[in-house]
Amino acid sequence: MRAKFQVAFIGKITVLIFAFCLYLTTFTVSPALTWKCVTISLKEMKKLLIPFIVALFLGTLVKNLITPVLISRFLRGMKGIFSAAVIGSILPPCPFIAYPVIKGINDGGAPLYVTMIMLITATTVEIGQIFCGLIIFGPKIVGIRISFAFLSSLIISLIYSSAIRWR
Amino acid sequence: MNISHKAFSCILCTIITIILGWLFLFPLRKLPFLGKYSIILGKNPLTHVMMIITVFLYLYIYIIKPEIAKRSTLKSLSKIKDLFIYIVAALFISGATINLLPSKVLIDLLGREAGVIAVLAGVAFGSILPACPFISYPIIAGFYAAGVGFPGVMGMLFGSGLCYPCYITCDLTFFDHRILILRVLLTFASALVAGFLLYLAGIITGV
Repeated sequence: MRAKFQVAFIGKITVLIFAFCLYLTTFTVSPALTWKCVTISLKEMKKLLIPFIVALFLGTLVKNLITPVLISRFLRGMKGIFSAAVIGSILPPCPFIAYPVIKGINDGGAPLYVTMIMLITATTVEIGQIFCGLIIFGPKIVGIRISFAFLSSLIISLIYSSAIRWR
Repeated sequence: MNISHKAFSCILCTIITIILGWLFLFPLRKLPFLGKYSIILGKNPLTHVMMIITVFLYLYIYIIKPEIAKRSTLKSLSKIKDLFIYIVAALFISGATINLLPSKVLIDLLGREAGVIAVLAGVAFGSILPACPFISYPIIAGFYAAGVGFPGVMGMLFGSGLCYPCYITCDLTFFDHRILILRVLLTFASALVAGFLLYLAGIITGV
């Protein structure tokens, strides 16, 4: 448990150090570019802060509501693979919003392969992108993207969960 | 607590949620000041629906199981305090990467590729594009208009944001480096399989 905490902490510190080094480097090369980066980041932060906080609340509630009975009923075996794929697909297409919810389900006791399947489909399928996709590309490309991405995610999820169980 | 009480709570929370949802999603869009809620809540309606569902769930759980709602609220506040600085750092990395993306170079490289290589190249380039579709989709559409082929464009759509700093920093913040490596490998595999399946379907159907 202590080792797991230390590994997670190192990961978080890496994020801080990388952000600091990145901005130090861009400031050295071009202060104007750095200011532009800061402006865009602050705009993104303004847009994402409230949804991120709401997502954290949702993830924590999901973690407290999930019971071992619910997990064994919906998130194990073949049904679990499909349920996890659907859950990951319908989460909002932003990791700051999807990850707290997935983490909540993981902390609630879902097996690792279920968590990975949700992460795969949250990253590749992202049904939430449909709104932007319909405006920019139209229904044909959006339909092709979602259907092929979901199919391929299911294939990879099946292979991965079989490999986990075979081990 | 009996079933009628739960049903009443559910109906009451649904009505409150629908009213709140109606207030936020429809009439305010056209109003000059209140219609700008997308500036602080994002443009994606799915995110707005998620927020409304969260409000509904907390209201409902607070009525039927108040101890769970209180525990969740306190734990969420504690998590926000723990994670806030890392999320701010992640957003700053994301903002910087948007500016540092070499779009012109990518257009030149992708435009020259065709066939299966275009799918591979599309997934690879798409993976470094921003995760937010409102930023990456116009970039990909620009590539399409500039002459990048359909396999390359679909590869970029399938691979969009896979290795973008947002996802990497969230993997490290919420999980650890092992989950990050596994997620990147599996999502790349998934995007490549999707691209190849589409390419094969294109060959079979002759489109």
